[in-house]
Amino acid sequence: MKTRPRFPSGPLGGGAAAPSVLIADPDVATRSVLRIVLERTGYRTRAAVTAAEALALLNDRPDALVTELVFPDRRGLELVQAARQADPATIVIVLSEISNDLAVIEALRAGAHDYVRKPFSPDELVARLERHGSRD
Amino acid sequence: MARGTDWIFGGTVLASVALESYALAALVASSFAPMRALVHGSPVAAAVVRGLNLTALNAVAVTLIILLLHVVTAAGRERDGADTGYWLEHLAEGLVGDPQAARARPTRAALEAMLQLQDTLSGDAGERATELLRRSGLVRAGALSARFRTRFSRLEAFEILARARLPETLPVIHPFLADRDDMLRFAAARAAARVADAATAPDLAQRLAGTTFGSRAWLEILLIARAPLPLVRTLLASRDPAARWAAVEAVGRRYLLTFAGDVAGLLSEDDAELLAAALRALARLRYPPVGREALVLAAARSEPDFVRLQAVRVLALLGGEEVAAVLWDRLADPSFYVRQAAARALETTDATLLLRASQSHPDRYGRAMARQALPVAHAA
Repeated sequence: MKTRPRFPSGPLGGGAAAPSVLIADPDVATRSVLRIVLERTGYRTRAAVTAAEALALLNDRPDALVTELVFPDRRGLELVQAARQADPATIVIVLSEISNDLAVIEALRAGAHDYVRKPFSPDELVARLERHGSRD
Repeated sequence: MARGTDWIFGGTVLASVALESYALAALVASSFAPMRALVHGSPVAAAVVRGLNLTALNAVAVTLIILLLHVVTAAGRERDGADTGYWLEHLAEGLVGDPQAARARPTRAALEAMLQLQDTLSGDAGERATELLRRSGLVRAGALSARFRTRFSRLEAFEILARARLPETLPVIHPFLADRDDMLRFAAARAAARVADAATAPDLAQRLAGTTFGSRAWLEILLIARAPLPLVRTLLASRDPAARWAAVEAVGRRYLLTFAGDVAGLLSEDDAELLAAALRALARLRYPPVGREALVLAAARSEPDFVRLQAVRVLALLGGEEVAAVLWDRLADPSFYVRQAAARALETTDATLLLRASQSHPDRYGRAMARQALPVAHAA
């Protein structure tokens, strides 16, 4: 298992290489907003439109995964589980249009660190990512 | 980018046209001499041959037109997607980064991008997206007037207005709330319900009070309403059974506890549909109708079965000896769903009685249902 370059004091802190975030979302607007806000904050990003594409990109061991639960090809929960199995230290945040409590509980049980409902505040999402990244 | 299925479709059509042309050419070539001999001197045969040739040419032309249209449509879709993608990047940059970048030209793609961003963002960025949409003027009455020429364009405009959710656009929608065209009137009401905020919803409720829709149409309007309380209040007081039913149903589905007392007041209704909706709403709200227990107990013994079902679900919120006795009886109900609801109600109100029912209820279906509910009770 790799040594995680944590987010010691925000993504730009500590002089370490910028943490990488995999954005998995079929919605183009969400991908655009996340890419811009995360890169402005200092993260490196990669984006996947489908769950299958995201599963393939998990081989690159991103430091964090921000994923939707609804994909045209398969359930996002599988992606959450796969990310945590591939590297238990990967920070997983679900950012979904599903707002019911059951979905939140399922996602957290599957290993997600946090659940953010759409529509979302980009600043809040970055803050949550940093909070989880600075733990451990 | 064209999808894989586009290429498969295009290739299939092209192959069909090529084979068709080849077959026609072969047919014409092989029958040219005999046809010429046949036509010679016979005007009827000549007309038949000309007709056949014309039909074949038409078939080829129509096929080619379909193929061309498909190519043009696919290219247009690709271009629209690229345009929207460009504006999404450009505007998102402005909304979450450099505000100077957030300027949109009044194009369809820019509007689509703004609407998508408004749907995506909340908080400060969401407010900036709304402000951007407002400043763009794309959804103002003047800009939209061109969209109101035909029925289809009006429906499309209502959808845009609904997604934009700018209360200042309500005056554009208001005239259509009384339109004679049912579909336009419904589309206008849906759009207005999504647009109207807490400040403008009371006015909308007044405007909709005199409108007629079916119960399902009313329910849809209430379920998507941004600020539903004034409209629910108005419809609860309506004389139209469809409107009242939808309002009661919406109270339960949207968890509008404010109206729980009003809904409990409907338990003496004779209309079975309305009574069932009121009971269903109370069960969803988990609101015990204190002081009206006798009405619920009576409903649990009444016809039709869907009223008994909802009444039994409300009994689960009440408890007491009389309730337990009715639930015991309902375990022998002819309806599977009523028996199931009775077993679940006993599970929450009197688990001991449920255990006894599983062993000694006189009705074998009642005993079976109680046994099925038992493991859940024990697990709890």
